Amino acid sequence: MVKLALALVLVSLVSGSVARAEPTTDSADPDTALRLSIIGSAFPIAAIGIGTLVGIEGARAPIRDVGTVFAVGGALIGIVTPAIGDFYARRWLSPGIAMRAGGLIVEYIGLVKAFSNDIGDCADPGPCHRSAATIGLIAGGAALYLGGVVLDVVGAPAAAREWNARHDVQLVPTAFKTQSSTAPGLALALKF
Amino acid sequence: MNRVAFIAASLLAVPVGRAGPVEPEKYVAVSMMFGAAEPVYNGYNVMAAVDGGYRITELLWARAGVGYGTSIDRFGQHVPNGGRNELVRGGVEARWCAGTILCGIAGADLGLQHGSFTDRLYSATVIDGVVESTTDNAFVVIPRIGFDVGGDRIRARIAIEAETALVEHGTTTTNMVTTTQSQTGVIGVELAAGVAFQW
Repeated sequence: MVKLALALVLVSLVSGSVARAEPTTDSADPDTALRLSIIGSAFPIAAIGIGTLVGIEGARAPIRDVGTVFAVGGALIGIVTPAIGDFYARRWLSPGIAMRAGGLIVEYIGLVKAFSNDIGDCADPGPCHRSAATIGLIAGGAALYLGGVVLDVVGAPAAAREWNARHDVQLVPTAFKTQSSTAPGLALALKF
Repeated sequence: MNRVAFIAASLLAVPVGRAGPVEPEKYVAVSMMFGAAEPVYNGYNVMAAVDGGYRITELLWARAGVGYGTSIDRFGQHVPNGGRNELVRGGVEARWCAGTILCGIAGADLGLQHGSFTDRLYSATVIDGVVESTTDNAFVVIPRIGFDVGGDRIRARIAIEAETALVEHGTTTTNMVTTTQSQTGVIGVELAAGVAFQW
């Protein structure tokens, strides 16, 4: 006797409240995605801020060195980490990553100009000044970088909802109690 | 015999409560701290640290800890070079989590920092060098931010922090001549990486 019973669940009407209370392993919670992106953004931005402050105000050269490393390291890590909410929602390519990478390159060019090309101006009589192009590059790079952060933070919940919408129909394994035994089966789950 | 079971509908309109993991109330952590601090003017410091915390609200934890370590030279082989740093601290931190895997941490401690550094100064007229000893004592505020990641019990923690002197007193002795100095501002910065056990 074949004891295997095929259980076909035609429709499993699962309400939204149930989905939120106990998400399946394949679903992505928009709130969790948002929190992941916020945490992933806060740490590198704080590292940049603290590192820059310490790099300028540190009492000793080694302290300023470490501060600078924190600032640069934070900026590099921050290319990726604000997108962890998107990664959680299985969106592996985020436009925010490209914006931050681009912003960092622009910022780097601006800082190189500020600390090499423009510094010659300070040797001249009169106040030091930076060229408008340098200020534009520094401000533009920072704006691009921060814009990429905001884009990923704001977009993370939408990415999670998009993932869930694409995976509304699920065929999942289940089990049923029969008169004589427990039988494996398949369930077709629809969420709406 | 094959059996086919048809279930027309499963209407689950009532929210299903799930017994989540028990929220931790205490933790202890061991970590290594890498950075630089007064009075080591020619090196970086490496400290071992232990800290513990107690949850006081849903968001806030009270915490306290100690750290002790040596300095390594700034250039060359990065070997110990005669510096010491000690830190005693306590404060609060907020922990805000995304699910149970990742938590962001931000807080501030007050603490006492003590350091010493002995170096030999060379010059064109003093070929053998002159021993210079510096010590530093400071009352510091330490803002910190980081994250921890892991399971219900064991978590990895990474944080960066800046030691900012509210009151500082330093002495420098060179050729038996002692001078004193004081300053405020950023006198240290650290990256702390460690493992925490919470329950």
